[in-house]
Amino acid sequence: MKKAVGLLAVVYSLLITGCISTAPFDQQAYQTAVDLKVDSLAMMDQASGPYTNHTAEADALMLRVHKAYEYAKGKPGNDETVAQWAKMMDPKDKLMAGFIADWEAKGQIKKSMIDNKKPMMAEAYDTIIDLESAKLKK
Amino acid sequence: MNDIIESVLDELKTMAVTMAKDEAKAFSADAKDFLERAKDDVAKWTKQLKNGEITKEDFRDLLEMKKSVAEMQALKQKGIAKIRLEQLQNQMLDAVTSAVLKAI
Repeated sequence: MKKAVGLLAVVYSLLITGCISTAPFDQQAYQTAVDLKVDSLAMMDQASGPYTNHTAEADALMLRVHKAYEYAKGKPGNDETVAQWAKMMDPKDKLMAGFIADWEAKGQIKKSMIDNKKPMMAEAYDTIIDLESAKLKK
Repeated sequence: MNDIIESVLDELKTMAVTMAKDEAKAFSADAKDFLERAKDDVAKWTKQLKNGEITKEDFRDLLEMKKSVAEMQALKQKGIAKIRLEQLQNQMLDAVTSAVLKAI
């Protein structure tokens, strides 16, 4: 019996030492991602008009993306979500910051390009929302 | 007592195999969906390029965005895999705890 308990204790300690700890589900983070998805897609619809008419809204939206990144970064075990927000705010990644940088550079975006890019932007936000939804409620 | 150890080890093995199978199935379905959509999108953009609705630069831009979305998907899958591993780890700890308590 001692031998059995000892073996189980070894298994237990192996499990404990190899411990993985991921960030728990966060309702605020989930809501932020959903809100930013909706507002980003609505902003993309405005991009057929001149960027100069929407500078303040675009800046405000990107500020919210930066805040979402900083919020995610403050939580341990949240590396993938942090990396996702980092891609959203990096113009090289052709996601939200990339779209706004493009809008600013070109002055306005063709309707056909907005229509092509909106489903992909929605999908990109969905990856953040899906990952948050999959997190454990601890 | 060996029976307890055998049964715990079997249970741990079943948990790990089930998780691996479920995750592989989910990942494969997600990857298939993504590739199907990518195929449809590229076909649509090619048609738009031929019709002059978009330029070569636009086409490249769309492909780059698709690549960024694929990277976002990969991050999601990696994050979910870690979450599933933590779940498995918790289930294993519960199984071993319960076996130890039964054994003493």
